[in-house]
Amino acid sequence: MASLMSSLEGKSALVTGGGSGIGLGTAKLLARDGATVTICGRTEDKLAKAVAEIGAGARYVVADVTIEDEITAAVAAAAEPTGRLDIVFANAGGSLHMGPVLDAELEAFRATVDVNLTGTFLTIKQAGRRMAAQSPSGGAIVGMSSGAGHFPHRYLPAYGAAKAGIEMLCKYAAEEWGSAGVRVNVVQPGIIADELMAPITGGGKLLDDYLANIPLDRVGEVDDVAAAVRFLAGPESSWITGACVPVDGGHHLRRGANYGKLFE
Amino acid sequence: MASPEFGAIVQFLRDNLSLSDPSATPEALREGMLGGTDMMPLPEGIEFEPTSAAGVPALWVRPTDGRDDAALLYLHGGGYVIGSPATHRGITSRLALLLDCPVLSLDYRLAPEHPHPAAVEDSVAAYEWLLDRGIAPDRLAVAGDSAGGGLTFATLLKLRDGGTALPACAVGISPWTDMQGTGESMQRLADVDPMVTPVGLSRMAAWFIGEGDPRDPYASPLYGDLQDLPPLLVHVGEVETLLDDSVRFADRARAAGVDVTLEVFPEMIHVFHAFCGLVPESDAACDAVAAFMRKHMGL
Repeated sequence: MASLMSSLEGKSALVTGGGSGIGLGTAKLLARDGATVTICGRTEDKLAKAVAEIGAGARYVVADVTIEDEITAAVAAAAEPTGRLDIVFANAGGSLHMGPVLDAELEAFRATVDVNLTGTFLTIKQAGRRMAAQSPSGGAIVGMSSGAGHFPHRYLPAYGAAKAGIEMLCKYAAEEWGSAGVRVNVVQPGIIADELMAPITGGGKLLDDYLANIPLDRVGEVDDVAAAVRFLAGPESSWITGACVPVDGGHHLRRGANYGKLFE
Repeated sequence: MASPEFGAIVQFLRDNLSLSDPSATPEALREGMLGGTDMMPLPEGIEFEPTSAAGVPALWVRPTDGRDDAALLYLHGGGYVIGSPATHRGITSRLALLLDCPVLSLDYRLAPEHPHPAAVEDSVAAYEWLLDRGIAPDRLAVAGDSAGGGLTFATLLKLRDGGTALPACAVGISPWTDMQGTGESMQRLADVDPMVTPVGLSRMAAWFIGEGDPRDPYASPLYGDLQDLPPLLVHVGEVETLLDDSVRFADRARAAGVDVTLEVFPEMIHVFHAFCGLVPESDAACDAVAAFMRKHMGL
């Protein structure tokens, strides 16, 4: 993207789930603009490769966002290079359940809520504490929602509910932390052509269902989301907090996708 | 293993304090502290008399029929933003009884309305007022908790630098000595300490320091030259975010040749002495503070 934006030189950033997909793409963009980026995730091999790709002094920490000690250590590691933490993209998440509400198993539901909502809670709790306590206080936190948290995408109830929870959690944090200069916003991506979604974006009835409901008539790219996160993380958005930004080609204006199409 | 009474106090604090809310106003924090301390029991045999110490409002806390040739200047805690002689009547009454001499509990000016150096100017003025009333310095002690503990040490530095006779001894209870919050315990114990949080403390530090230097020794005595101070006692709980403010201060004082005693109390929290009358560990710690003072004040 064009460099209309200011530099992030001297700022440190943490991206959870930064080893692949939207997390990795965003980490690259933040690093390109000058930030010292730390990524975390559960798989060391993936993180090590990603750091080599990001370059620019990027670092990684192996951390599971659902384990408070681990995310606490990741937050501390991200603040270590500059002595403060300026940007956090609480991106880690995923869906561990697909199907009708009445068939949802407790374990799959709980695991999905854990990795998305609880993981975001622990990440922004630890990051927000550090940002509000550092001198001068302040920072930018970006949460990761999904179109599935905006309206039903049939058969994604656990994921959608967890994502909706992230949006509200971030509004609570934004309201509390504003006076400390800590901003909290959320991106709400639609369908994005990353490795995880390749089986869907490659073609089929579900993709057709998506495209029929996207006014801008294409699937999104990782860079579309990264650019929105970059905006919400940088000084250009200094008077924006508690916002949820759909990055979805206008999908939120129509209706959610029907994951039942996968089984037709 | 801590007493059940102590456990009940910690649970009460966890349920009732919200010191990590960066939008809380000084007024709301002050209300909350007053509410929390109003229920503390007061011992029998104490008279309270409001006074003015060189223009600084203060509260005399006097044991009935106690001696009058000695006094303790007490500086209450509350992050330099909250607290008052009223919120600390429990601990000052207890110390007055144990010392059998009056305690002058000072209502020094608070931030953000009055940032540094207002508090230390008031405490120095009050100490000199006590001297002017004919109390010998070797019958005087200065003590305080939390911000008041840091203020106690800052007061000694300012008195020493001004050539005023120093008191017989001084005591810091969980003293806050570093406005920069650089202690390792600040992050490590953030989730364990039910009272002092990094967010709450950094806001209070910002209000207190204002435009000043957070390493000014009269605000952060940790960074001062600590030579020639009188005997010091430092009490701190093991699970405090402010633990390292005590440990580092005691280390630096010792290195400067000061006779300093540091006692770290296992399982205890910030200014647990304040629960005297309710919690056995608090009573024992207050006894130890008074015994130290009596020894050095010749009481």
